Amino acid sequence: MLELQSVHAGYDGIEVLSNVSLSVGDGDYVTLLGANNAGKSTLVNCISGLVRPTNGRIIYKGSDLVGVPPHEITSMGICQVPEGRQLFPSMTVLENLLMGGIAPNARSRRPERLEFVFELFPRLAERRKQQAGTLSGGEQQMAAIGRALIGGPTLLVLDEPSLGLSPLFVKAIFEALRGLHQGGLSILLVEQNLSVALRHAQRGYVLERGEIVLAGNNAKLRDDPHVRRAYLGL
Amino acid sequence: MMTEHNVMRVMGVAATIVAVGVAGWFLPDYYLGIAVKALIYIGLAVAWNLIGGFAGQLSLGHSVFIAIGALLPSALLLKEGVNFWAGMAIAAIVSALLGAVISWIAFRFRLGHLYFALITLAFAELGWFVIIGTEYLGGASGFFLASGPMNLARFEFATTQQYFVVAFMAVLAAIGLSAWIFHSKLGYYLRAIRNNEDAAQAIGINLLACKVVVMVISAALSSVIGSIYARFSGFVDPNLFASPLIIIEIVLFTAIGGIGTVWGPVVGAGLLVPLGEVLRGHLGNALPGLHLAIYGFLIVIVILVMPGGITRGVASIRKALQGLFTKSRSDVPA
Amino acid sequence: MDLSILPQTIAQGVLVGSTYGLIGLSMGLMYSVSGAISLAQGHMVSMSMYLVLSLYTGLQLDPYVSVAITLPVLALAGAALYWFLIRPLSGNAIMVFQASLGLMFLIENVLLMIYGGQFHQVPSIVSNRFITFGDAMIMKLPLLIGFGVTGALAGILFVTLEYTDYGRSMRAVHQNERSAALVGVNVQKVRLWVFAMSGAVIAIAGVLLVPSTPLHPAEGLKYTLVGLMPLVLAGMSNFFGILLSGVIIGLAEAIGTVYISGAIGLSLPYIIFILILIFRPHGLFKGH
Repeated sequence: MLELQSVHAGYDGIEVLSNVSLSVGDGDYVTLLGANNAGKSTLVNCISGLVRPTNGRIIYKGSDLVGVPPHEITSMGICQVPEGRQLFPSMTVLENLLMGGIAPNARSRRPERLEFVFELFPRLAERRKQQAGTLSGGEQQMAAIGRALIGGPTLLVLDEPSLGLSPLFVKAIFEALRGLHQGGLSILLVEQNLSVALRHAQRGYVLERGEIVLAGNNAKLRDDPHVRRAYLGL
Repeated sequence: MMTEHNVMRVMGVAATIVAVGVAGWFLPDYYLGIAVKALIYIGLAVAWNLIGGFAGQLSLGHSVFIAIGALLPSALLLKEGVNFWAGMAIAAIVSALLGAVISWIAFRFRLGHLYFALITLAFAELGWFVIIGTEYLGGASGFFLASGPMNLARFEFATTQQYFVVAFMAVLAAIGLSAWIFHSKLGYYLRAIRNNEDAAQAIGINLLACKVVVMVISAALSSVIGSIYARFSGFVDPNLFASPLIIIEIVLFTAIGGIGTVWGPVVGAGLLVPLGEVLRGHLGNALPGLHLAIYGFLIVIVILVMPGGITRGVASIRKALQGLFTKSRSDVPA
Repeated sequence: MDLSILPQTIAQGVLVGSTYGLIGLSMGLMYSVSGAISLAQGHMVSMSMYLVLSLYTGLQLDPYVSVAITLPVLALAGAALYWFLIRPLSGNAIMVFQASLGLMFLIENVLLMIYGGQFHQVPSIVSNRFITFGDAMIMKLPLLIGFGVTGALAGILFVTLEYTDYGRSMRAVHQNERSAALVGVNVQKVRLWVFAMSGAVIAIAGVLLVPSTPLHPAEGLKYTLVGLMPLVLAGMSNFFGILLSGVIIGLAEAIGTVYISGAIGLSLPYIIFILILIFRPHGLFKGH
């Protein structure tokens, strides 16, 4: 469904991503692993159209996404849960969720999707009238995921959803993601928390200094000596 | 260390100064008058650039200091018989104090660059009302300063040539002061503040003190140049000196030349004042407003084409050309 | 001090101030989505007023009728301002600020070239109509109309911001531009529309000012200032705060003119403005 073909990207002449190729198939649950500054966020921004690759192609459902503005990519079905949640702080939870379905093709289906999100995260239903900026970190993450879901994605891209959350919330969020995946949603999970990511995803890629150094199913990644040493501390 | 490049540079600057001085001397009176006006505006732009450029705080309140510099010594001379030199000094001190007060009010809380511009614009308008309403400062009609034979002790000059010399020396001193501040510790602090206030504070720079100090210097210098301008004009018109328009012009000159550089205000005012005068000379009678409309249009275009001003624009073009010709060489720039 | 005219003075200040609030609102709108301010907004007000003059002399249109033409024209001008100035400077507030100073010169002098430096007056059929309230207050009808229109606009703005996708998109761009783009907001388009809206508000302010104000090309800076002060007092993007602060500035102006003679009276709005900033540097509507 999504395929990156030798993507290069950078800022001010400094290359952050070099020759990155990866693919996410229909109904896949793929994780992209990497430490800080490995280039994960740049990669995510390339997919969502915020950063334009200097070279390479990003093929989604047969068309090239390079040069397509972010709002159009969203309405094509790639919805992103950005790093650090990035909610609209002085809007209510409900308003944030409504914003998720702002794209013209998503507006008509907002009521049913809203109901779905409230079922998925009942906490959000309780706090619907509360300002998003006053939510706890975990609740904000739920709201950010909910916001992305209301856009009706076929591919959900999550940028470090576990960052700074208590284990309880991490568990709740990943359970929700598992349910979504079982319902047919394709997921690209970008994480530096390997143990969590490898417990849930089917396969993954390891990104180091802007290059894919390793790819394979999660058993292979988990048993790889380099991964064990560098990321799992074993 | 004095590198070869620096020697060349100093010599180039010196040669330009001499050339301008000599050329100025032999210009016909009309053009010499334009040259004096250009010099005065260079001085005002250099003074404004200290706070507006080096510190990055866009003050629109400087018309108040220019007006004080122009009107207060004139009032003191005509009403109290105070020597103009003394009047200039008093005006500079008053402006400096006022600058301290205004900047303290505005900088007490860090409210951002735009806020400062908006607040000082209100000060400019307030100053304008107060000045035209104050009979002692000439009210709405201003003063006439009679000019007699040259008398240095009373700061009186007779010919345009003499004013050219005075303005030229004042501008040289202003540029010298500006360059000195730019390279001093204060200048370094100010650039740090301009680029990132949080980082500047984190390394222990006293934001408020730096901004207030440079505002005080800038206000006093604006006032002194304003005094010279008043003497040169003869007619000290509050509609010129106290109107916020004068400071808007000065900001534009500096913006066109290159805000925050030592030579930006010099280049900007040095090009735009003569251009404005020529446009006015040729088009001013044909259709009132045409020359200023063209002027405004040019300014917008320059800002769109060279957002950093002419000095930076030229520097980057030069760099690009150098890069083109010396690609093979692997020298490291000093 | 003649207190019998106090109610009249206050009413006058409130009514005039509501138009100032509109000018501030036009700046607040552009600031909220672009982070930049054009100081030439007051000159845009002048532009819209002269347009009203031309429509009156050319087509005998009453100002309140000609708004049907000035509104789309100024909306277009606002959109053009975004497209040709703010967008190329990628919203760099300092650059936009400088360019807008050049724009001030351009607009003011084009007006001077077309209309000359004398004062113009555009009458409206309601110009000399008065409404009396009890025995103490006589109000000019144009001012009352202005107040009514401002109130109605405030209502429309409130409903738009709170309850429509369009308003939520505006707030989203203001609060987090990247997230707005990620959820599917066409940020560029929202900005373009908001700038058009800002121009439309200018057109309305211009029409409301025309029947009670003589026109002169050099008045632009004054309109910028009376719009700027409410903007700053309200902390830049609190739209209702801006309208309310406009009333404060209008009140200060009315009271200063009526009760305090000379320069202090004329400059009372500026004195009040600076005093408020000394005691409440973050504006009137933020608790600090």
